[in-house]
Amino acid sequence: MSAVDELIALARSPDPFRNAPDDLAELQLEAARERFVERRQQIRVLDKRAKEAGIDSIDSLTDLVPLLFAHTNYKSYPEAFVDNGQWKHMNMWLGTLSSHATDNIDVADVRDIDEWLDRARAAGHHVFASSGTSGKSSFLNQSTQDRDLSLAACLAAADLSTPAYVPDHGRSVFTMMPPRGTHKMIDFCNVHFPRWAAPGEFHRLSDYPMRAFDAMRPAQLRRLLAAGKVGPGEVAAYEAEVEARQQTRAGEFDAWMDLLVSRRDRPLYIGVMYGVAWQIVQALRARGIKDGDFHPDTLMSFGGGTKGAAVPADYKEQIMGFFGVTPDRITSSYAMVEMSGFCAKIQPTESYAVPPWIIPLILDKPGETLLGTTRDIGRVEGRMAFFDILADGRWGGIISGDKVQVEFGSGLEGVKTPVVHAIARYADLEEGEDKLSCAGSIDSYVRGSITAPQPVAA
Amino acid sequence: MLHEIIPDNDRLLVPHVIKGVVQLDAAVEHRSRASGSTVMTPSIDLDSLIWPRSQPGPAFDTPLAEIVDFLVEVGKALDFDRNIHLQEAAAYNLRCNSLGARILENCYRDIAWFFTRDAVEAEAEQSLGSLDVLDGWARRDIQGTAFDIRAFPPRMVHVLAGNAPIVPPVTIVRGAISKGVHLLKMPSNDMFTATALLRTMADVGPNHPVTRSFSAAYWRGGDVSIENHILRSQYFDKLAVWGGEAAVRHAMQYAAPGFEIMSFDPKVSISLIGREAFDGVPLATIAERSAADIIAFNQDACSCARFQFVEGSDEEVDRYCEALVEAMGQDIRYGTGPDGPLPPAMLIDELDMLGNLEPIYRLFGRPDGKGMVIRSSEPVSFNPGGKLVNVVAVDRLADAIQHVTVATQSVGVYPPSRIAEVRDGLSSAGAQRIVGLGNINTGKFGGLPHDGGWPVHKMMHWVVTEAAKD
Repeated sequence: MSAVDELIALARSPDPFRNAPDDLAELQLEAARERFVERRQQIRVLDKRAKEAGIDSIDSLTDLVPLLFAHTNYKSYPEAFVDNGQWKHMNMWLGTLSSHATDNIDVADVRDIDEWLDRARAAGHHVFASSGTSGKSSFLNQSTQDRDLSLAACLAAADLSTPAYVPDHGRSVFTMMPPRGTHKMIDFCNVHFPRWAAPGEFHRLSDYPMRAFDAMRPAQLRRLLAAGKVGPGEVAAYEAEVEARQQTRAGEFDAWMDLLVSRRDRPLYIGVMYGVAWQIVQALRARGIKDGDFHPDTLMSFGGGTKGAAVPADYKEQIMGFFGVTPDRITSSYAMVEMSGFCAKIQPTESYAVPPWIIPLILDKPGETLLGTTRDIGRVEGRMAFFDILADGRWGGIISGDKVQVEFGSGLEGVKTPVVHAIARYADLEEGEDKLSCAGSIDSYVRGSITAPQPVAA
Repeated sequence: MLHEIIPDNDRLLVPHVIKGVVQLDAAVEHRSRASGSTVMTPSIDLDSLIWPRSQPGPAFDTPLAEIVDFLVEVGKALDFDRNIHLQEAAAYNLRCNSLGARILENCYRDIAWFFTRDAVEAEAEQSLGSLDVLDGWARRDIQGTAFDIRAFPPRMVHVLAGNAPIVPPVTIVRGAISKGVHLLKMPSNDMFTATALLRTMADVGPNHPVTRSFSAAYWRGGDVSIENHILRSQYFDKLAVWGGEAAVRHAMQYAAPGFEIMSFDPKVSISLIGREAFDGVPLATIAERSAADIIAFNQDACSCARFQFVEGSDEEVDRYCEALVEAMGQDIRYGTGPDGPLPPAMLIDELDMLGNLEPIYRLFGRPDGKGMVIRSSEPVSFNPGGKLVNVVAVDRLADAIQHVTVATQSVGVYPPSRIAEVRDGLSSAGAQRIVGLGNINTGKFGGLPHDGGWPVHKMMHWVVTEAAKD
């Protein structure tokens, strides 16, 4: 059995964090070595990067550092491909970052980005899209194999964070997550929540699918406006459409709140983003619901940040107090879309266990020097980067925008893998990220009137 | 060489010139936005920054001929080898400006050219149509009635940009022609050129009306404790702002009835190269002309070409790109030579990716300071800079017009005989200046429109009076 297979097999284990092998560091290095040999044959970008960095083999984890991809690589496609409907070119672009050939994606009559993503899926490329605040979505390829394994790993990690509860088809589930879409979390929610929901008690905020097109459209319109390719009527129509959609959402939200009020004496499972959780608290308080007026076994999960929502400083405490939930009843994890599985919350602590198939590579802020990895002992603070052994459809080396504190060899609560203690985004910190300045383009001449994308569910 | 005279001192003193008087005291400490180093300036007395409206400006009634004579004398004194102010400005500017010693020195060596008699006279005559409105009230008969019209001297604040040391001489020459009073706010990446020029003026004519009509100072852009108090119609008529979007948008906030903003907006420039390039003149020669338009001022000026549209087959365009990247590595007067700037760090990954998409895109050169070209069939979605140019293949030059906008400043065309064919379309799309390829940064100053207007004409306070009936 290869080192890769051995680590991947753990994804099917109910607790890969405590079941990790004792020689994890050696196994990870061997697996990285195997992956590199295989992938550089398949991914041209990686081969080129390796040649430039002068890396012919992975002899230590330090060798992985110059081979890490920035998350921005996955949104490096020229926007003209999408604007002009050059889907064959998009196939080619995706192919440069994929381990499996993408020329099998049938692009005949594809009309928009979502149709292209559907066709990719039909060809075995389970591409998920994430919407960046820049308005440019990233597209990460995953094979059927890593999609399925990653999903199983996500479920196991989520359940570990609420050890006193098991999915028993006994709850009223409330989630904002729509039934369809290409966001990684949609697949997860579609298998996670139904296991907890009683018959007829799975209540989504909306059935409107999450489309990549919706996330990309405002930036596309700004681009077309700058190029003088849209008239004022089209922009006005789009803004009206967005407003109408927001009104529909508001109506759906009210109905959803009414339903939540009527189910509050049953065990609930509420899965929302923090910003929306705060909105729910306000809406229910306005309906006269008092703090703690919920079934004492209510479970909750929160995702993402507050994404521009106006929240008080103590919003987390207020939300937990309102629903009467304690930390042991909150499904929690640390993850990013580029990662297979989640880093599971280690109850009863506020720390997260890294899955054994993820090799954490903690770097300095510029992302150049390796400060710590699995072989080490003790705490190290720096930029989160990792190599994901499980990733099959793409290269697993990724460098993130997160500043983390990671402890190696902690043995915390019997966990044998590295542990993440504190997480922040460099972009949110005072030290900040270095930004690209771009003066003098036509962007300066476009009023930023076209509505930015609405926050989406998690 | 310039490097040798840079004093080994961490704190730079930025002199101010207030109404012709030099201030050298180091009273206020700033951290330079451009370099992060510490700079010291004199303290600013708000009252000294204005010229009271109750009194005429020093040069309001100075005849233009006298102003021209004075500027010509100033021009003679702007000989880099003899002018200590310019030498000092060049040395100090190296610390806060990214142009480098070579470009800075060459720019300063050419500054006198803005002060030549031909340039100044042409700028006045062409801008105003007729000089009799400048030297006094000019009688006009309009629809049977007599009027007196005067281009009255204005009161202005100028927010200067520091990306190329051309902005201060242009501003000073135009300001002098206007006879008005002018406060120049210096930018953090050029805190020395404007004062070097004003100090030279003070040397040539210590009490000359034009000398007394100018002040130059540095304060942190956006400092409300200064700007909130002086940017009012009670003190000034207009604010001329040069620079990036942030500077222009900030200035717009002060616009009010009686207080107008004149904006020299951020721009980009392009080239149009016809299929004649592949038939006759050696491709290397055409590439050299292109490179001169692209790489001058480290591609940091509005006039520098960032996109080129080339008529030709894929094979021809690729051949051109090869010649272009070679030419971009060569030395030119306003270039840094082979050790040029690099494309912005955050573009490197994107370029790398585009390089993987051959044949749709093709990269020429490497991010090594010699210059890079990216060839495509559609313009790239980023703004190329740092010695990076996007060559876009087109079937017909006219196809490029769809990519021209109000942000397009200069267009270099090869061969020049095809300018007539595209100029109306380019103008309609928003372009403001169309020249032969290679002439973007060697154009003459004086007597030509700028950014779609006549700056001196716009500066003036045009007043009409009904003529006294005899």
